[in-house]
Amino acid sequence: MDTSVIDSSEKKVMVITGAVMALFIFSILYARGRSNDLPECVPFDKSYLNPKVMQLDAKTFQVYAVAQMWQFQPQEIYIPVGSDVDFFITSKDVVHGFNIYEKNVNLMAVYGNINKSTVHFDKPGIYTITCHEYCGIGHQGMQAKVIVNDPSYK
Amino acid sequence: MKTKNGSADVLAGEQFDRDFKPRGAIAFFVLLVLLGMIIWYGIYFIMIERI
Amino acid sequence: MNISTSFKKLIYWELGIPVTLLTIGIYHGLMQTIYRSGVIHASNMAHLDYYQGLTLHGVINAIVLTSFFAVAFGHATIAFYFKREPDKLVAWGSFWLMTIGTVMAAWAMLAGKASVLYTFYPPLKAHPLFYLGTALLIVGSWVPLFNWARMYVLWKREHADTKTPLAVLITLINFTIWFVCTLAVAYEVLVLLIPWAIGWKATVNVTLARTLFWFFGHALVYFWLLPAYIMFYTMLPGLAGGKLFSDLAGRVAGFLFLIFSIPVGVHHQFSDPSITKGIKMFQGLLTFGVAIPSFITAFTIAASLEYAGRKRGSKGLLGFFARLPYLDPDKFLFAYLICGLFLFIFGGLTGIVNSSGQLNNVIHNTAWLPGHFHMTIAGPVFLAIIGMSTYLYATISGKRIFLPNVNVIIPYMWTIGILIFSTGLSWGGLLGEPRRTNLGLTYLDPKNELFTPEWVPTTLMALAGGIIMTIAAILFFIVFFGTLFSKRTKEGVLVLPVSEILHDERRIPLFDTFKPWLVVMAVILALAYIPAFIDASKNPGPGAPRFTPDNPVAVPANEGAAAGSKQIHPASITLGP
Repeated sequence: MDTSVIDSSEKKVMVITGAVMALFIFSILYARGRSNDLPECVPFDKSYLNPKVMQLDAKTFQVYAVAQMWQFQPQEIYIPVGSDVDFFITSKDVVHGFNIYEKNVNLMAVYGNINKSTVHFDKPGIYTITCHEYCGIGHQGMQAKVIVNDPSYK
Repeated sequence: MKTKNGSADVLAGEQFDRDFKPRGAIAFFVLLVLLGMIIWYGIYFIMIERI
Repeated sequence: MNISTSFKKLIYWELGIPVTLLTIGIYHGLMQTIYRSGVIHASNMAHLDYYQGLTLHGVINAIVLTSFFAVAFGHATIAFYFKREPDKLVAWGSFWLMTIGTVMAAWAMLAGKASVLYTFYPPLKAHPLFYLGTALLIVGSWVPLFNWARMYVLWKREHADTKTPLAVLITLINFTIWFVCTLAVAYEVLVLLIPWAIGWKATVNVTLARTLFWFFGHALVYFWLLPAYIMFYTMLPGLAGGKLFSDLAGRVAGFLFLIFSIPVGVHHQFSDPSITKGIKMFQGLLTFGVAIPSFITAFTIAASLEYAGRKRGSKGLLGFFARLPYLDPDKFLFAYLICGLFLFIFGGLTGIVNSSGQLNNVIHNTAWLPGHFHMTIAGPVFLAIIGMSTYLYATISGKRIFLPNVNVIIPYMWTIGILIFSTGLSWGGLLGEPRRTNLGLTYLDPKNELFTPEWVPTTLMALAGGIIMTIAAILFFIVFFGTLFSKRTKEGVLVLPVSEILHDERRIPLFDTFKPWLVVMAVILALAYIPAFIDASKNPGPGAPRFTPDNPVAVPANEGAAAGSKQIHPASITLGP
């Protein structure tokens, strides 16, 4: 194809665009990590429908959360500061959201599916889990809390 | 802004067309890309800070 | 071009119906900013529930208005450039399908039986007529493509070596994208949802339904956008007093949209389970591909405006921006288009953020998202639709614009409103403010235990922006209906602004032929979506029963179509923890 037909300024534009996109792609890959990734796929199993918190060792936890119209179970989760937490989420009914915005946790809770995200809680505080997908008339009251304690509070 | 199409005007118009180089548009485009990078890296660093 | 009375009437109805329904759409937009800012703490007002209003807002503004307009503008474009009217039977058949479908869906929504939002994610169930109505609207909008394609083939035979007019090319590209992407949502609606909603099938695979929807859902935004792009390339330069910098750029952009618009839908599902990370990242990468034609357009239009400005004697590098007919009432389309382009700067750039892998975790489903998309669909798309609707109606009916000085300032007022509105939403989103939520009932009620004071300034900003937008919209309705009810002053004709071209590159067959691009489109689609559909079919566990918005208990399997569809007026709402 005779590329001389394309004006030289349009070619400059393509080069600049391509360079910036390459930069973005590199930055995305560079920042990928255990606690900074897209959600993981987990095969479905009925056991995930039972909400619970499991401690694997001093600083490693697994939270099996369940979303339903219109609350999360468990509603209050206590985690020691400095812990790594795997959040598993599923829904007993319609699609819900599961958002801990201060920690990049952003998951959809879908019936028949298990979603997973890993977080490292390096600072104490109360982290709110908010449902951000319309799930019916009680949607605006659907929140839970992760309470990350400073050990000195105990 | 049309002038009467005398042959001098037509030639001047053609000269304008031939000489036209979109330097301003390139400048605008560079600013656009810079704005894009500011917005993008703004969110990127928010993300990093929240890890 | 003189057109028949039948064709005129078709255009009038296809412009008039959506603009009339838009009054409801705008009303619910304003209401949401009022509910969300906590000015009122209520679940419903004037017998319309918040989520019902949100559904009406999304369906009317984003599906009905845009589809009707794309068809009407497509008819006008094809007829004007080919100097032939579309087939009467096909055009009116399409109109009736769309209208009947709209009436069905509107009934279901207004009756409170379809408060499922325009994405209608299962297992929230709507009344079957909602799904059927939407399907009819979409199928009706397909129909003209086949007629236009035939007209195009005939035209090509008569003009074998002439470049297809750019406006025609992009119209055909746009409707090809539309036809292909809507196949998925048609399948979702007709095969997955309606039998389940009626009760014939007990469960639905929610992830598969979502994946089918988003195969449609991202390409949908290009279906909205491309008519505006046609106006940017073929009309804006001339209106500005200049020429289109490069005709070829428009063709390249058009074909890039053809191949990249659809295989990117999974970037709306980055937070979904069961779709593997590999496919999410691959489609994220393809999304960067679909950003390229927009960058090409940004430069090409800027260059065209620079030509216009410099021709008027502008000095300096960026001085050309000052020499453009921003407030000329006779060139009011310029105002609508330039304001749209300005908003699209922010809308497009924030879109790239949203599809950038883990960056999505920061903003998904927060208020940032409506902040983003009101700078795209409520930016260039909306302004192009309302500006061109007024223009087309006035010129075809031979009437003068009512209040032309008001008409030309509407887009500027709208733009100021959107900027304030979207800033409030974007800021709120970064503070964790959720979208699709009646905040006033809890999070923005100081007496409620869930009160979140951080979202007070952000929702108030959105309210302020929303009020300004509403005033601009009311002025538009006054201008449009004022023009409609005024007297004819001259012969009505179909005429579209057409810009001269600076670099009118010779015809390059590769950028004037559909076949190779359709092949590439199919290949990329297969690579991007076959794995996604396999994931969505194989990975999830059991399918879900039906749920209605007001009841945590699933609809019993033996209940039929109207099961559980009560009017939503909850006496009490279960509030969280």
